[in-house]
Amino acid sequence: MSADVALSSEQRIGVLKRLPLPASRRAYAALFALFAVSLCALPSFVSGYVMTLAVEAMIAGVFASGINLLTGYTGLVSLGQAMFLGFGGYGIAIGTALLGWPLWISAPVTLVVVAAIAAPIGAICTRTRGVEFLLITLAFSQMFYGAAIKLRWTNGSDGMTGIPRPDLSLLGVSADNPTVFYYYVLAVAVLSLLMLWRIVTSPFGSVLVGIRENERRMMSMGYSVANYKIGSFALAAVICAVAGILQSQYTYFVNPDAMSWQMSGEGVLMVIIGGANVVLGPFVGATVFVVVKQALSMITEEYNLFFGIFFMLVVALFRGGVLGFISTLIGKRQ
Amino acid sequence: MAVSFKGYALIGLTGAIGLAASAGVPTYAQEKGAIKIGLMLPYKGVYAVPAESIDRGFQIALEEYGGKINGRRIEIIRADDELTPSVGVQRFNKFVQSDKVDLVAGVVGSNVGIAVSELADKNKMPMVFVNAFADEITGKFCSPYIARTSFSANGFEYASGKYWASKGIKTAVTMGPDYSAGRAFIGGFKRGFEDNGGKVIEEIWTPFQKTKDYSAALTQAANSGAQIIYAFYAGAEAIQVVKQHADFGLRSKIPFIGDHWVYDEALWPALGDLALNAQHVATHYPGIETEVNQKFVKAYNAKYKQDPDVSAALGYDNGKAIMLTLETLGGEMPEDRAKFISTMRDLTFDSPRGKIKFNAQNSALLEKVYVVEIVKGPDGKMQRKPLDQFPGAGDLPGCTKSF
Repeated sequence: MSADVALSSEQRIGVLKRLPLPASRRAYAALFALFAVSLCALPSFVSGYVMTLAVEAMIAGVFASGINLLTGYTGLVSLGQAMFLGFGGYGIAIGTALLGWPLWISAPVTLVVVAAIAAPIGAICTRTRGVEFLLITLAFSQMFYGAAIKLRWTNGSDGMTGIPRPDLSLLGVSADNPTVFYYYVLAVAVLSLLMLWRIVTSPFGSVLVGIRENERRMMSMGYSVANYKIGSFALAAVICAVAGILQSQYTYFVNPDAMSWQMSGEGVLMVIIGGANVVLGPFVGATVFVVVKQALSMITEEYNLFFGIFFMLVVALFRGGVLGFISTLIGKRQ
Repeated sequence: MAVSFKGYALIGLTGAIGLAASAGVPTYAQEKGAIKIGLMLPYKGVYAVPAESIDRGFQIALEEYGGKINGRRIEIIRADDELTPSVGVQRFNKFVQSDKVDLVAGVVGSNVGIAVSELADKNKMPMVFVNAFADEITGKFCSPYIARTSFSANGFEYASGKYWASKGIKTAVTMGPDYSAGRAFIGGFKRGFEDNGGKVIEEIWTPFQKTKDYSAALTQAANSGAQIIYAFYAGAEAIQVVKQHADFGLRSKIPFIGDHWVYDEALWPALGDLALNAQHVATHYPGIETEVNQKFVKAYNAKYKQDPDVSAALGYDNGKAIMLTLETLGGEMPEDRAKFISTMRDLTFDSPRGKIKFNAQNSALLEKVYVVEIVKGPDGKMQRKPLDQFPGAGDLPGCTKSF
């Protein structure tokens, strides 16, 4: 039985009904175009600092998207995705600073290595589910976090500096310029988003959703559920590593903090705020996260307290996150 | 419920508007012509106490000049780096891009210092560190845009290790928090101690900011057979470790020798009698009998009704160096901001701790290190009795740039 047939049968049964996925690809393309235009225009009408915030939001958005593939689509809530964020940053740091490779080799090698590391970790972790999965991913990330703190080779808790941004001198610009770096991050974020969209709309993505909705059923239909889960885990890891590479280039710096469980937790928060199960959800969540946190930190030093309250309000009032709330509104009007 | 294309377009539009609206982040109304200094300190958490003292000392230095240089007002914009590199990076970016400061001062944690040093270099933004003692800051990570007004870990602790070795101490066990500054301080002590005939039997590292229980480490130290424990801790961690050392009855067994952070006067109320008779090394204490110091102590007492601790003195030196540099430059930030730092490097001035001079990597040197004992004064209050003093050591090599 092909996956396409599986999808249509699932649709008939109505399992996928709660997904607010538009039927037409055209709609998505138009949506992306709209976003792309507004984001491309951003630097021309805002100050440098807003652009920095936008860069932070986009990087966080890519990171949260990786979590969303695992959490929102496959239904596996992980508290360890920050380890892959750290792997991304450390990967290019080790590649460029310790091994002396140029960035264009270090970055792809990092992603391949991350996938290779994530697959066995995923194989172990996905044998569990629910709270156990959450805890075992947390344990793995804490293990690597501890290793990163102790490892003298990567300067221990000091971390590594001097991480290069891409050399864009061919285009006559320098990525040290905030505007240029903004466009670079935007391009990578859009590419990641397109890739994610391709994944979740593919038969592979449908199987992941099927696993989330009814794992037993997918098993009885003959799918090798375990392999799909590992695949989802590894892909999510690679996307998180892309965010890690961007993050370390943004700060020219990586240290073990990038792998802390707080970072994983923030990623999950972004997914919940924005709305899981939607490709754009994590980006909306990350934007809200960065902007609200920034605004609160300008008002009060105890912004974390108020941010907690804000998060509770979102969960209590906005079912399905901000995007879920908006689509409910639209649905009502129609 | 399927959402139409129109619906999604609407969501997209809302998102775009949201992003655009974030352009409305408030920018503070600026009095034209003020020189803006971004002051980044860890106002909360384990280093909250030293951070507050640094801020106060910094203000005393500014007030000496009436908060003005050549008629231009000095404005301080504060930010909390939360002792976390990623937060420090965000705050630094905000200083540069949103607050548009002329220079950045402060920074206690070397971890944050290392993270922002690269940004300062890339943004060509003068960064005048108040603490950030790790040797690499003005070594491996040196930059023409970075200066440090305190001293390097090696400059302080190498000299200290040498001093204790010369005082008949043959063996020591070290304790310190496991992060850059802890490693730098203890490493400096070990080099100075062992180069001069001592032997560090064991190095014990405790997790930084993540533990309140030092029993295992203290037991290990007590069983090592060394003559002294030499330790570097600060703030809340110092209180806990000194108290636990006493609780386990180790005071008579193996003395806990530290520096001015372990026995900081800001911690005396919490330590109580435990601080009494403790000997430690210090770069500054209120009793130094120089005119500059007595003037500083008087001004600090007049404003805050207490004696300045070492962090207050460091904050003062930070502010004073900045004000002197601005004065030399006639209150103008030069077009080439590296010139601000090179002007600072050429300064020599009398500070409460002694004469301050900078080396070629813009790191201030220690003229003197004091050895003191905490005693009860005639008025029943605790004070320090000077025992000895010795010159500070030089910085470690490591800077490969020339400027």
